[in-house]
Amino acid sequence: MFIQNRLGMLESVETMLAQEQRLNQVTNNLANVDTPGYKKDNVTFDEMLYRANQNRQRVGKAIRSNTIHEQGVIQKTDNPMDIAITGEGFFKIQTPHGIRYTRAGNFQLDNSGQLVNASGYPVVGDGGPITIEGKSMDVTGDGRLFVDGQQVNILTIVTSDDQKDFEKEGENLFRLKNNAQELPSPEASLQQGFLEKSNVNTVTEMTAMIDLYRAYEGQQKAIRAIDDLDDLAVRKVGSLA
Amino acid sequence: MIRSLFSGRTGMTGQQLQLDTIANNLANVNTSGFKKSRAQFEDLYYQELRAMGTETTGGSQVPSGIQIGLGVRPTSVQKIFTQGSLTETGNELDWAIEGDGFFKINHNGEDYYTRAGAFTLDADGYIVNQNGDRVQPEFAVPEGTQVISINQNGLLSAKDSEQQILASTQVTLHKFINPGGLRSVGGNLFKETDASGAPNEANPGTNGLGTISQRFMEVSNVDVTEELVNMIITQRAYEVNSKSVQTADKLLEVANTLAR
Repeated sequence: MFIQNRLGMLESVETMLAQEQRLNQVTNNLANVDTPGYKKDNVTFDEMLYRANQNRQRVGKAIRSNTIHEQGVIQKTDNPMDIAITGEGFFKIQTPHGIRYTRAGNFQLDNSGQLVNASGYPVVGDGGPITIEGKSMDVTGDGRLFVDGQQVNILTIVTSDDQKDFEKEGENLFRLKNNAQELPSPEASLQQGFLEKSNVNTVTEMTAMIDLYRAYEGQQKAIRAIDDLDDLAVRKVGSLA
Repeated sequence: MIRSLFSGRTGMTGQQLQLDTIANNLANVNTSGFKKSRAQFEDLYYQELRAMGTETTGGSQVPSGIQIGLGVRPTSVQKIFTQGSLTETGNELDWAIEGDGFFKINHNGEDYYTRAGAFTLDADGYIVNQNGDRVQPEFAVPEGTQVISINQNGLLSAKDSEQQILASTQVTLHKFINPGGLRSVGGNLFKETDASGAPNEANPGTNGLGTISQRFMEVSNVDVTEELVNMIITQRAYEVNSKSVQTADKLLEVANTLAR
């Protein structure tokens, strides 16, 4: 009885902490509701066998975060340096830490005329970094890049076997997990003058927030109930009526 | 403390910047040669609570870890140099640039660039902008001038009543490889920076530069409907971020009432 109670309390505390993590996740999604190419994360809970010691086992909760690579809304911006990807795939970006991937197509030129992302890292095409020198830049759906009507480079759009291989790194960038291989993405198509917005849905996030709040509250009540039981046990058991 | 309190705040701060940008765009909806700005965001770093592939106490491997994001931050407020529409004014000193390029203005001995081609003459006959800064190359209209004309390629001439050319000069335009990198200094002026690159000077209509349309003015490229829609989005985004801060606060309240 005693141990059961303690376990119940432990599980409630664990759930409360897990709900806090869930709130952190929801908040991060909401903070990035306007970040181009942002992909929302969600937290899922799994039952997980904990082995407290040799004789005792219990089932606990394990939280796990997943990135949802759903397509974001494509918004028209009329800026020729904005390129949106529809379908699966990522742009390749050369950073000081190696190749990274992004869906945020809000590119610009740096002082040497190179196409860079919003953080200033060069965008990588088939023929390496892309230099734009001319009056106009046109990008076709399959990534061929024309400057003043002359093809100068091809924007490479890559993916991998499983989109879960792409891990978030911040700065709108993803990195590929160690063992994963990048593959060309045949189904991706590009739209110039458009920007992929964040795929965060505020309604879903708000409901998640209500849900997690109530779950948190419920667990608090559970802890109190257990505490009440203990209280009764301490005060009433053994006392003569 | 719950991270949400802080990451929610980053979201609110970001939306404030967005609103500042929109407000400035709207305030300049009638400023000739004004170019709208856009705030850009990126997600902040992720905290790994449990890396992928680590072992659990049960001996199994975690298939996907827990990464918690820490919010958002603005990367830049970028100028969008799309063409504003041209309106006819009939004033011979209103010159609009159709295409890329900037006029050069000398202000207190320093070079500035502008697309606001609403010029006038100063007391000495020089062509100046609305603040009295001379357009480069400097050109003084000689006495007796009746007509000032400038063609598409920037050939400027001052003519008398008999259409005799009294003086003429070539007005040049300046192009930057990355106009988004120019610094706005107010007064419709831009200053070159390391990011914008050095200006390339050429005659209008050559080297990818635009042409000059006399008696026209380029109006601001701000689209009011677009800005208003963005304003609604910004307001709502601010609101949802404040909700996450509130929820974090409510969670803490629940936790605080645990102990009686």
